[in-house]
Amino acid sequence: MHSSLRTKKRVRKLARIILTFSVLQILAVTIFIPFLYTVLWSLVDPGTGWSYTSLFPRRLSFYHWIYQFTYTQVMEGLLNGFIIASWTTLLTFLVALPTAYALGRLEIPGKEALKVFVLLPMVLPGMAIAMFLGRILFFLGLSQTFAGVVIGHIFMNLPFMIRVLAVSFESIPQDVVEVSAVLGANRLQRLREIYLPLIVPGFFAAGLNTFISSLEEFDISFIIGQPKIPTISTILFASMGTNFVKTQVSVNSLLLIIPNFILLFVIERVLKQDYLGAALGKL
Amino acid sequence: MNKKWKTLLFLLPGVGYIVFFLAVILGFMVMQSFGFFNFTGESGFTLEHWRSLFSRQLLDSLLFSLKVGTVSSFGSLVITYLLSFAIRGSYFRKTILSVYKIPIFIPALVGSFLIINMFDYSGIVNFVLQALHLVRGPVNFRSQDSAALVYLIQVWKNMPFQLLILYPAIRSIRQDILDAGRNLGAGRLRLFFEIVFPLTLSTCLIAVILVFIGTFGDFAVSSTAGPVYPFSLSRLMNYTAYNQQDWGLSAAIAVSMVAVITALVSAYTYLQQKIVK
Amino acid sequence: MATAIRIRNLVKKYGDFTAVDQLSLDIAPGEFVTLLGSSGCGKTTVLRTIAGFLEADEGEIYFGDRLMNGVPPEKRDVSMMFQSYALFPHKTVENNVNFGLRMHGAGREEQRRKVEEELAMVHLSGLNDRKPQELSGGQQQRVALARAMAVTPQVLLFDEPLSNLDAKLRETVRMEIRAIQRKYRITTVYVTHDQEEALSISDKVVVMNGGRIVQTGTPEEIYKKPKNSFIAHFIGKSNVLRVDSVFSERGKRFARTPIGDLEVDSPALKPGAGLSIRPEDLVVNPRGGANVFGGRVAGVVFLGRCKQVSVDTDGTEMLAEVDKDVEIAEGMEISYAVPVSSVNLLREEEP
Repeated sequence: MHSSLRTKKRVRKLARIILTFSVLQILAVTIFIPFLYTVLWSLVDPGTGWSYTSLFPRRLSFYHWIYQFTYTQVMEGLLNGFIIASWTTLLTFLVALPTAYALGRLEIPGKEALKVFVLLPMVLPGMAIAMFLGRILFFLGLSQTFAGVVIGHIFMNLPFMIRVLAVSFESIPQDVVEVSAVLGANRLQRLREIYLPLIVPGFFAAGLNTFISSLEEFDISFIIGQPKIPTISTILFASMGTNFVKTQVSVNSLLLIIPNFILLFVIERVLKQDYLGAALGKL
Repeated sequence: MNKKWKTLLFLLPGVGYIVFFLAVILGFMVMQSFGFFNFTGESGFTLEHWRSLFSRQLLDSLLFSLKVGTVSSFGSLVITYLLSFAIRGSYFRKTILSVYKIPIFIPALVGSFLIINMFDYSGIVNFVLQALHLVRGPVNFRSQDSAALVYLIQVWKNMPFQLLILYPAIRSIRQDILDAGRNLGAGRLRLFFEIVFPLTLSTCLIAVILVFIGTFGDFAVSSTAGPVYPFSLSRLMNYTAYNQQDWGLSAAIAVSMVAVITALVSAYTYLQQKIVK
Repeated sequence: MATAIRIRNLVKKYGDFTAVDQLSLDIAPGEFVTLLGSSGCGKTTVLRTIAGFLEADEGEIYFGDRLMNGVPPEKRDVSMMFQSYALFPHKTVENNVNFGLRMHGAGREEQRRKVEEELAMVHLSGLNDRKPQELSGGQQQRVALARAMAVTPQVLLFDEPLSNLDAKLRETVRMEIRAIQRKYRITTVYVTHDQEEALSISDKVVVMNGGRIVQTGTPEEIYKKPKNSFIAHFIGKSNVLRVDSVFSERGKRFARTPIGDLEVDSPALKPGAGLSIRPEDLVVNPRGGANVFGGRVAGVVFLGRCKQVSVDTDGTEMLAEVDKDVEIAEGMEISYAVPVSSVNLLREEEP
């Protein structure tokens, strides 16, 4: 009686381990392998190549990375991306700030409906917005300018920025504000000493997210920015025609992912609170 | 009085920006679809563009986009639930969850390439299949007619997002309620349909709707990994405008897409109200 | 219909911590057994093992002749009432109560009939369409009971079901639970840390401590004849005296204790043992008799139904009770008698 029970327990424990192992395996296959594979392709040595009969390329070299940076618009793309992202983040923050304050701390009839309304740009099809905004900007002479692209990016990123900042503002306890007033702080001082410092984490989260979003954004950069203002996304898209060169495209893809991984680490390590979850969860 | 103006003033920049551009863009779209602002010909009211919507090409694209939306959202959902249960008691829970979040941070275009790269003629998938002697020659995954890669890429990219919001919801179900269910005779399957699913319905709804809307309006993935025919609606809209110079029809397509999405969002809001009650 | 439960040498460990240590227990068909003990004594672990949520590390559990080890909870014919009621928040009262029936494949008509029957039994007819959140704590508790009873289980398990109710309600509900159990004669295992509850409703009380059974017996046995000083102090209040030496005089046996020489009617009396006496058995200001001692009142506490008096006798504090109207105050010199019949010999060392 005892031994059969023990065997049953052991079998169950084994099943658990196999399950965990399979999940880890699937994880490895679906997440790491695509990534690793592309990394290998970006490092293929042009002299030896990578024939389809071997599992790994015979020799690795940075040739293609250097090639991309020297002979294509990749450098320009990166630079443009950073310029656009910086302006977008800054301006989105400034535009969102008062609105977020209002939604977070002031009484507004129909606030909940307003909060949902603000999310609309996130929900509409990106290409449609890009195309028709692009048309309008074209007639305003803003097509293929930084300003045009930034205008579009702000539109797309406002919802998230407003949402996260509003949550930050909401979480500032009212009595802290009142105490500061009682202790003699005027409006400007309250802004500087209480509000701004307390929304820094939220700003950090939303700001970083906006920056990365803008860097990797495709639809608007493609329609409005091209061809004068290439970004990594548009370069990547262009290189993915039917007969694409794997090595080239691999390098471009990786260039686009790297800022994201930095973001991932920063979010997991530095930020203590789950702003992403809070913001999304309240949808 | 003062308070009202203050509130309005504060709301103005953010809400104003969005309202302004939404109005302008949507307005422009609608006008163009009815024939106004026609830059390549005569401007004037016409229903011609709307009539052209009912073409074979458009209906095929609509069907395609709806299919992609449905498969991506519901396929991901099933996997999300399965995965949530699989990792529920696991030691590596935290690692698995952080690593699984990665595709969320990978742009659709890159995700598309990462997968295409693997399934190419000389890709690793073909290599493994041939090495295991499961096939004789390389399989053409990137077939001109197949949308399989699109489905795969979209599930790959969107499932982690659903996991991100659904897993905490599943975890938050009190253990004693599950125990009570088991005690009263519910096996795994019934436990899921009677208790777990209804209690996570609200989160499930948002997970499905968001992914559906995102994949329904996708341009990047279906352009790079999709079949030659049919195009996704976004791709068709783009093609109609830039390649066929028919901005009116393109606008009509755009408005239709917006209409579909609006309908879905309304349905979602309505269903959420019902659930809360 | 009722089953006997046999637990043999049950062991359950969590890492290095042994929650249940070689526990064996027999429960007769239709018997109401309470597992009584403070937090961490292992009583809930035993209950959950009977329910099937935990698997024993060692030992067996039988329902009648059937070995239950390895049988998952959904396949056991037990019904459990949880401390938090665990009502399904998204289902109505009706759908909560008929849940078990639906899982067992009962037909619509039978479900409806049973639900009405159970709700009537717990006096909640008519609340079928309410949701749990709309009910009071007491009502939720009854719905949980109705739900557990609806499947006519062989065994009923209760996990501290009354701890979330206020005192008055607790008394009423526990009587109802007892009445229902008596009526249907279902084998019941009840877990609680409340002794009054345990004593008032059980056929048998099992006192647990440190993962082990300390004493098993009827409520009267447990109360009147505690086996050791742990039980003596855990159940109600006790005066415990150490036996320094034993002697006989005029055919009667006496124990020399810190308060004096006490006549004890027990053949097993020996030095080093302990004696326990309930405060309410002490007779204050008696009219003679055996075992009379005196002392100074060190404190008086008014408990409503009586006054609790602590008396300092030669340095040892004894607890006694007097009627609520008796005039007694700190500093008074009183005498009290310890009736021979109320002296209980503690047969074991404290575990």
